[in-house]
Amino acid sequence: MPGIRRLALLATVLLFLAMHSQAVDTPAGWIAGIGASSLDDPMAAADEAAAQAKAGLGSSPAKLVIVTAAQPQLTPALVEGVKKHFPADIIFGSQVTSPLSPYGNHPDAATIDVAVGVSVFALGGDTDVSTALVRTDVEDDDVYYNAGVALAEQLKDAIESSERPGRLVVTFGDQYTGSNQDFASGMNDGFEEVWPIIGGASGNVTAKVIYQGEIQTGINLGILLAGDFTIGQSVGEGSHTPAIADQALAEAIGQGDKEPFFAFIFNCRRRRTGMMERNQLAEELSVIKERMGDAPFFGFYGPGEVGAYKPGEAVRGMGFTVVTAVLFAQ
Amino acid sequence: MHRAAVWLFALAGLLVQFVAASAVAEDAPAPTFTGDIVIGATFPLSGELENYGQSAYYGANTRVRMVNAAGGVNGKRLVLEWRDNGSNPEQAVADIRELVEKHNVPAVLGPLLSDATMAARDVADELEVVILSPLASVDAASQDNPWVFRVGFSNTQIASGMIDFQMRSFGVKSCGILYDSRHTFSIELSQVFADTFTEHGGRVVGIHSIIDENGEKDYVTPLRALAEEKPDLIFAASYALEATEIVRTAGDLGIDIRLCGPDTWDNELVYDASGTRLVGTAVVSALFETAFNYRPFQTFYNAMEQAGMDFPDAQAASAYDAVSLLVVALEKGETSAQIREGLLAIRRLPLATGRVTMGPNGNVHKPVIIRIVERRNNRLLPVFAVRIDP
Repeated sequence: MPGIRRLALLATVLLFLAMHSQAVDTPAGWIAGIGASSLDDPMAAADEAAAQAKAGLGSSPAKLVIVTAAQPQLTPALVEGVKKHFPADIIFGSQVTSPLSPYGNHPDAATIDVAVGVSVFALGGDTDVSTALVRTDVEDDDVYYNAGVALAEQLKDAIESSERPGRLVVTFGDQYTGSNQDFASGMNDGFEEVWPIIGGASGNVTAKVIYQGEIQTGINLGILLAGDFTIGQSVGEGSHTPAIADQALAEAIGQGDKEPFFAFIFNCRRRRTGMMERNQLAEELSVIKERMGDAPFFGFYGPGEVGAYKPGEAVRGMGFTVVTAVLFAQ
Repeated sequence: MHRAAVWLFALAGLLVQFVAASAVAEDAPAPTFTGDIVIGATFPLSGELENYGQSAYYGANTRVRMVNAAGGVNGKRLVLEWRDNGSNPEQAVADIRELVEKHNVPAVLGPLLSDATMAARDVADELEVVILSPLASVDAASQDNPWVFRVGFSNTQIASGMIDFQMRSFGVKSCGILYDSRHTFSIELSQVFADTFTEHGGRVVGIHSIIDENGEKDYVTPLRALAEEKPDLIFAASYALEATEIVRTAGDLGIDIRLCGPDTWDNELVYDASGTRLVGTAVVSALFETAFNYRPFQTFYNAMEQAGMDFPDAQAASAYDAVSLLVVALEKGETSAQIREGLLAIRRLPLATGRVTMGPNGNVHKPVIIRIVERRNNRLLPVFAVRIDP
């Protein structure tokens, strides 16, 4: 059975990628793959998901890998599973309440924080990638604001000197809602000008985060993606229903003059709670997929979001929201 | 709780603190002081509001002990001269007069809550003594009086924070309001909530008192009246004891409308005595969670646990922060006028309840926290939901 399941998943991935390449106007330099696994064993799950993601890259070498995993599965064994397919220094990731990708948002999980679930996003092509790490487990009364400033300062040269039209910062780690407001404020001040930023909280200071193939706690990561794309941004809030995610994506997609080719989506853990109680999680995934058409997306459910209501607005730390950054070909 | 029992409780607390202080003293040399700075304090340590007064008492004393363990203020030992006003505003006024006239205190910590603070405005002005209320929320408490300051939220901050949260997070469009017509804070808060809700485009379906025309408490009639209008939300501007009855009665009547309350609901009594209908209720709070890695909060929490308080609450934190504010002001000078100027100069001071800036009218600017009650390990506990910055 496991072999059949694996084959079926691989077939789904290949079919998805085939549809993707036919229907969506993707920039020539954007090559990405996404994989997912629901295997119990962390190494086997990572192996399976990473293999699928790598298949999506074809012959393009990977520049960046982001792994999201259920908290119990985010172990050294999981990282070893990813390392079977990608070099350690490009592997980043996070424990999450639940992964979120076209392959699922775990509607049947027994608990809000899923016990099993791994997703892998791999990026190749000619998108430029820069990364930064800041520590939050330090003695500092203003630790989250200062971490935000420091993260921005590390990425500032790369974002300002890039001549690529699309520049997006993805951030995750110890940015629990509440502290994420100081963190976002620090990033705004550190960059000194408004750049598109999107992110989600892995948890609090004890959350496990992967940086260059190594699991750490008490850190926040920033990943700058620079490429030939434009960006739509939006925030969904107001009720814990799938309609809010649909509305947020519709707003972000409406900001482009083409169909989107990718989206990062970070979603609230408490929204997940409400939808789980009403059996609406599968519906939320359906509305996201429908809105995105053939374009893939990647993100997670966690306890805090960082985003902007629209492009050009300063980023804010939030809770009870779904935040989106949608990419369009130029 | 009986008044004698309260003082036994307080004495036990002081003993715990003495033991804790002694333990510290074994590791570090005891500071030597050049004198005492005596500050007055009047809280409701007995009477109907004693649940707030006792928590706040613990918070204030714990902070004083920490300050003195670290060398005091300007080389002097900080001393709080305590009075129990018995939850009686007139007694609070008498306490302040006695503390100033007999003990020559330049400032008074308290009164704790709105009714007594409103009553004390005139005596503060007359005696030119700083009064710093940890929890008074009535908007008018500190307005147009240079001697009155507060550490807690104003009613406008409470209403705005809760409405922002409910509208943004749950799409709430209509609400009903309950209030307690015996208390100034509740009367004003219900009106401020209604006005603010309407200004934000919401519809207020009704405002009802839980005190009937005979002065008796009646929770059933107003709750039924509101439920018939089917609002998205019921906000109840009450103290903790009445909160427990409102929540229980809503449960008994099968009313499943979302409930919420002000910071007076963020109290152990509410979590312990309201029953399971409380789950999902949102309360305004001054407390940051341990999850935040926010060190001033953690320092407060650890200190309170060491002092024997197993449920450090927002009332304790507000009184703890009030002492911290007084210490910063006293470092600039020890007269009433100097303390006043010192308080007014405070900007972004990291305290247990957040970074605090003192406004020109004696109101603090700090984040409003919203917590939602969840069931955890067979207890009902408030869990951080959002932080709304000023």
